[in-house]
Amino acid sequence: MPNQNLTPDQAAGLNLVKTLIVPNGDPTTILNQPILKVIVNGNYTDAVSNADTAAIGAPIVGRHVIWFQNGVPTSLQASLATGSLVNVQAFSLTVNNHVADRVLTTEDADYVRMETAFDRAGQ
Amino acid sequence: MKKIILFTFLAIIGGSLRAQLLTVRETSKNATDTLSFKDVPIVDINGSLSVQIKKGDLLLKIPQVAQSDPQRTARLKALLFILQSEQELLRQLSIPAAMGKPDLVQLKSFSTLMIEFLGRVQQYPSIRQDVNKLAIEFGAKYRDNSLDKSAFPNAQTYVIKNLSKITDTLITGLQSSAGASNVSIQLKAFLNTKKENAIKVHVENFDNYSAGEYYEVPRWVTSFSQSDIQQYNQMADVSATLNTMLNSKLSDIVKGLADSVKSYQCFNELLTSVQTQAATISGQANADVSTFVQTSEQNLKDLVSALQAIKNPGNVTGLNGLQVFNQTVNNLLTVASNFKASVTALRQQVNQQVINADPALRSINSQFDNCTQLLQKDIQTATAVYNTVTGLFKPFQNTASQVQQVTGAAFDLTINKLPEFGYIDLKTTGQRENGDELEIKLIYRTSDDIAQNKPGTTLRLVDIELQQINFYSETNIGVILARPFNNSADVKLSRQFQFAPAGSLLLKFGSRKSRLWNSLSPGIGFNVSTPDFNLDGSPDVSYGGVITLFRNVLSAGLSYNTKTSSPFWFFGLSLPFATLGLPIGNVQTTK
Repeated sequence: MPNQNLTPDQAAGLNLVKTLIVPNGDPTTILNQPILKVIVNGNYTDAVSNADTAAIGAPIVGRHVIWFQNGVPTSLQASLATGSLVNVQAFSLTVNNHVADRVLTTEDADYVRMETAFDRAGQ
Repeated sequence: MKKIILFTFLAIIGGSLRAQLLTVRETSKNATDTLSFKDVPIVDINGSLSVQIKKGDLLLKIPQVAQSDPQRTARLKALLFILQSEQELLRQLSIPAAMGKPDLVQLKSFSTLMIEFLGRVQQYPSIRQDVNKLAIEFGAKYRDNSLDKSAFPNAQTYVIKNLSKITDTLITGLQSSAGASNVSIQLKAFLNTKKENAIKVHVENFDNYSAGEYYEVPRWVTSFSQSDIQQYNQMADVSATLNTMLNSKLSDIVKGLADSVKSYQCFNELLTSVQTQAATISGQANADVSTFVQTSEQNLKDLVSALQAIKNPGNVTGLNGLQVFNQTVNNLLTVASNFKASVTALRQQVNQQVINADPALRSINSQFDNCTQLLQKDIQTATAVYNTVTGLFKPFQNTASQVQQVTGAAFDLTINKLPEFGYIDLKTTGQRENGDELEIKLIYRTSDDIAQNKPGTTLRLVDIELQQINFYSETNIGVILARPFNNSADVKLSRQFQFAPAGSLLLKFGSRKSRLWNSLSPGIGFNVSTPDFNLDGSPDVSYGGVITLFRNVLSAGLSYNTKTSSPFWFFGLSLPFATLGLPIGNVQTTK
């Protein structure tokens, strides 16, 4: 089932299932849920795609990806206390929205890495 | 530093593989529990076990397999290492996500398992690539609805199940490899009881042993059995002997036996006389006399040798002290019994007139009578001491006995024909007690081993303790030392203590978790004993309460003598020397 927040072009390209794309969608609804989140900070499609796959049918606690295509807004960085995101392509949030893991731009954001980011948020 | 890390890593890998080579599960009416071998596990003494051999781990343990196909073996090793928590991961992956408040404890457990799993994956770049490919494959199939979503609800399940499938394919390939074809596997089980070691136990699918005696250890014992009564009678004899020995202040009964052998000197002198006579009559005496002297000499040599062994047992290679004692006393009793019969028969053959006509022969004949009377007393003493010792020290006496023989043989199975499970029904393993141990061995044998009838190499050996679980009752028969609280007119003991046979009905609790508790094995119950406080030679029936510890090794209680109307306290001690690390009882058996 295509994500309602995707534009038609995006949906056709990545066919994301568990991803909210910003600016099209409002991240507040996802951030307010007690689930695990991965925030993608910019145009990192591997990170988005693999995190989206890792979020499908997640056990025990739900998962969701929020893709800030233009980067995470400064105000949200402040409210989430993310620190500098200059070299960060994605980070994970616990159910209480604490930063648990950062995926650096130098890292390969493959499935193993994005799954690890979710699991660190669950610990 | 790198070496230390590598070593630690390899040790962890080795440990986890070793742990998974055999999986033993206890099946009961309600559930199936997988046994953990971090410590010796405890199972129900009447339970059933299933034994599963992990073929993948088994292949890795056989050097011939790695030599014939190193690449596939290395990949298999990596996959088994990565998938070590497969079952638990799949179980947790099947838990649906909570709609409301999240279960953070469960989440933490799952996340930790996943991180450990992914950490292992990252150690093998080629397998990391496989995992990524599988995840992409899952994503594609999920999105175009070409996937069984009930079987694969998420990427994690898809990845793990497919890695497992790859592992199975590798195992199937390797078990048909040249290296695996040249070895065969045996799974054997043995029961080590307090009475016997290495009793063969039938493992369904892995041997054709004859089934052992069916015996279900009763949970509730409410009366003394016929066997208890027989043992009680034996303890009565033991008590009588002990009381006699206590009177004669013989603190060391075995030494007492050596000191008590009176006929040795007599027979030694008689042997010298006979040998002198034999030399004197050599070539001159008639056939009857020669036969009498020669046969007597040989019989006397045997008897004197047996008596000498009692007085000075010495060391015998391969036998412990108790075995030497048993052997020498048994030998004396046998030789002495034969000696009497032989001498009687010999006298009937020889013309008494011929003997009476020769003063030397007459003297020898008379000496025979004197010594034989002394021998009769020695036989009684030896028999009493033998019964006392074997009664008191029953545990290690029985440990030294012969291994039970069970017909049949363990199968030599190639890995590709190895049954997945073996089954053990503990109820068909014969008589057993709490604290006995079941030993399971996984062995591989090369074709050379089989051709040369060698035992092969043990890959895994596990011990399992048998125990009645929860509350149960049992009987205990032994000897107590009884001391009356006061000397009433009817109590005529000259000493403070008196030995007496006693039987107890005890309530106990067996733990599935704590070996310490099971070793302490506290018991409380009812005690009946028969001391003889009034020394009239007949037993005084007494009833009381008793507590026991250490599997009834120690007992103490209060009781009341109904005949002399006197209360008394008592304690009992039955030392299982074999468990105290003494040389006695540490018998090596061939399995």
